[in-house]
Amino acid sequence: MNELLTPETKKEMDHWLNKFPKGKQRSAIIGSLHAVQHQNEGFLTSELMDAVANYLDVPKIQVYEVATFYSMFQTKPAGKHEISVCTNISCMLRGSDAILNHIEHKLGINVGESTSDGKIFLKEEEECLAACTGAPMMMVDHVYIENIDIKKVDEVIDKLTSKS
Amino acid sequence: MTDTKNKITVTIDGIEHDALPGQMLIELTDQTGTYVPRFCYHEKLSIAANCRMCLVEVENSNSALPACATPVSDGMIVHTKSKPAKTAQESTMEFLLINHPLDCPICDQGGECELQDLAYAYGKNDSRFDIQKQTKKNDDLGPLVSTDMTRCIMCTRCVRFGTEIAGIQELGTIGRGESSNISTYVSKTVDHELSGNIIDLCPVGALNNKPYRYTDRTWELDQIESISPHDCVGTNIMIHKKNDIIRRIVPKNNPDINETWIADRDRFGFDGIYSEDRAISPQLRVNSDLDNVKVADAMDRSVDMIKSCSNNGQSIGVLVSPNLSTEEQYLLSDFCHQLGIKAIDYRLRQRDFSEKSDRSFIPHMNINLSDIDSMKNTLILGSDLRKETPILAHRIKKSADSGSSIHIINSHESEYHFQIGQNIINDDWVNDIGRVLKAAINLTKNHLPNNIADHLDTIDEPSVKHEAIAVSLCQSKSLIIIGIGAYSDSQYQIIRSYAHILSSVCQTNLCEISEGSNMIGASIHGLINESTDQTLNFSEIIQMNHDLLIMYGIEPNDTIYQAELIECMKSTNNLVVFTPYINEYFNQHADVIIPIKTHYEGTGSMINLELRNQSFNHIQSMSADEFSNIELLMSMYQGMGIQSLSVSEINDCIQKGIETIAITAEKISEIPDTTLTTFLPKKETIFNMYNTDNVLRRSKPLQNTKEGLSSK
Repeated sequence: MNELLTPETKKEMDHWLNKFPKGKQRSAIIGSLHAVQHQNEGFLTSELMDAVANYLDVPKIQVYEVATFYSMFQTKPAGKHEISVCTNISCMLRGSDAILNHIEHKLGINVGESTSDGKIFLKEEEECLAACTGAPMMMVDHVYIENIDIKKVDEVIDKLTSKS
Repeated sequence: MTDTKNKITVTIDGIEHDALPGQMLIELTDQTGTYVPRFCYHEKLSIAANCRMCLVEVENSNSALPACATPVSDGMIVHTKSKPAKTAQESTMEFLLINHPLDCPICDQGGECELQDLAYAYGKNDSRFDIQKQTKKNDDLGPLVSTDMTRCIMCTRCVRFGTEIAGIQELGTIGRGESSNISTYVSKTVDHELSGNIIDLCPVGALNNKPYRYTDRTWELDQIESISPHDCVGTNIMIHKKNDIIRRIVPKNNPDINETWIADRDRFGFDGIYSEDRAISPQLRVNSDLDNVKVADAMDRSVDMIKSCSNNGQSIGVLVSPNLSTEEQYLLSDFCHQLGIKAIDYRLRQRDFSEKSDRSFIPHMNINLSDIDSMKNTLILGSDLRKETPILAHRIKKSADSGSSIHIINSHESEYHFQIGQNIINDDWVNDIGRVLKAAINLTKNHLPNNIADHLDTIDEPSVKHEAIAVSLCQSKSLIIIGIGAYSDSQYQIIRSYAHILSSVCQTNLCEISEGSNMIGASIHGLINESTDQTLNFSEIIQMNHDLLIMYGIEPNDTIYQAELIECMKSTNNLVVFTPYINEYFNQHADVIIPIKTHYEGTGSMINLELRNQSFNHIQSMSADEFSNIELLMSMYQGMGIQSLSVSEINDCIQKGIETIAITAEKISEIPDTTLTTFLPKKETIFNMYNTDNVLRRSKPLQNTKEGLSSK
């Protein structure tokens, strides 16, 4: 089962494992899942979660619990690049709804879906990302892009789609 | 955590109470009889504090605090019924009811539902939420537990039960917020010998009793206290019946035995008494057919058969179930004793009878079940403990969880849900026990009688593993358990001697698990009538030719000697069976069939492995043409013209017998001469926990579980 994990992933998992006392491997689940999700280009499968449970020696259900709880983990196939648009109060007041609408139209998908070429994943729901000073904002592949408008969004998305 | 020296004072609703530091507020309110509503708190589980129902007002605190997770402190002033407390509780209730369906009229939990009760006390008449309620997917948890997850209020008692009590984590909380649900993620059935307890733990109707589903409303049921007849632990149960029919069984809390838990076979086993193959009418073989007759006729015929066997009962064999009440056992033994019948036995699963004296050492335990929790070192010999005695295995798990070391020596792997220290699995495992004994003797430098010293010379030198076990056992609070696997082994006498001597050398406690539910009860007559000549054992009885064989409450499937017993039934001239069930062998070979009651329909007492004598009651009133088992036996006495003891006289004898066992504290101190032992060919018998008696074998829900299906 461990062969599902790449050496880099295992190294990353060991790093997290070493941070906690023996018998507290449960604490390494979040870090491990990040590594595994990265390895699998953006989403987790049951097999990968089982592999994490096996590697950390924790019950499988504990890994499922964490993976399904946090919005940063995807348990269904998702596109390679992840876009999350903040729609919380500050961003909403500054027009995030219109921006989200625009992205949906541009990509031809609804929130929570990925483009058919598997490149872009528009995340279902994003809570406040703590960048209200730069509202409206979005996060693309873990990078904050603040003070966005339609033009800026277009540029970012065009760049992503043109990448291989 | 608790320190008895420093008592502190806490004021609850204006009354001062003494409390122990470290105690949670809810424990104190429960002790003092102040009710605080709760869903997620359970005294046997860890504290989750996630339902927020137990919020109470504590003076000098900014907000209401959860009583289950708030430690008491000196001078604390608590109000459980004040305006702020009530408001907090009512608000929690309003949130809990947002997504809870209003299907109480079709919910089995209705009438005994904690949410329903508290909704009456704390709920509002109407809901302020007119958005659509959540619905959730149901998982199939197997044939015992039904799921209606939409009713779940996320208290996580079942999840904590899985982790803390069952020792398996199969259920978990998936998702978050409003969309979270209790699930196995990848659908799995819950296969644990205690899994049915999540039914009782669930405060709502999300997890329910599947076989009982949609049969009755709980307030229509009558309740009787009883004891479970499916193992030697003597689990206390409550039988819920309607119109003299058992509808379901729930635990009766007994902190000394089963706490609030019962095994699945205690809960669902009773289904077997409603099986279609119950023996209803007495039958007599006329020519080659069995004809229905009156009880009196069948009894007369049996008595005639016994009378026609002359020569002092020498040609009569009697095979008895070890699951009967002590009273029945006593009458049966006494009957045989008076008629000079020596061929009577109840040891259906013992293979090695080489020691004639072993009847004077009755398998039992010399501590109480509740003492197991505090044992520090335990050695388990030849046992599938979780299957043989689920409640005892749970106590061992408790001791393991609190840090004690558990070692295992066995012929095969069996699944455990706790950390194991030394685990020796070996075909030649009996030798391993000897090596542990040798290590212990080396360690303690005890002087030994010559015969043991000579014997030990023939055993291999102990390895590091054996020494580790010996060191562990020589510490205080240690225990050796001999399981049914050892009992059924062809080298049982040696295993037992090793264990007894090891127990003496290391001064450990000893627990011998006995087969059936009342083997100790069955041995009482032999104990207090010491003049009794040596009786024959099961293996000898079934290898003899009898003029008359009487089988009482047993079926060929009950014993490890199945094939031999069937042969014996064929070859005997006359076969009389007292049985609750008909089977193909009885149909073919029995000359007289007399229906008897099962445990659930009878009344009497049983003795568990810690020598606790407990009585049980029957579920139904009998009609005039029905006979209790005791009445049937008494009429046999009458027919033979011999005097029987009255039930109260028997009870005196039982008391005397128990005292005799209790004061005979000595242990086996001799090793049987192995050269004299005739080894029967070793047979692999897999212990199936739902195949141990005739009732369990017929319980449909249990037979549909993974364990039940595995024996098919």
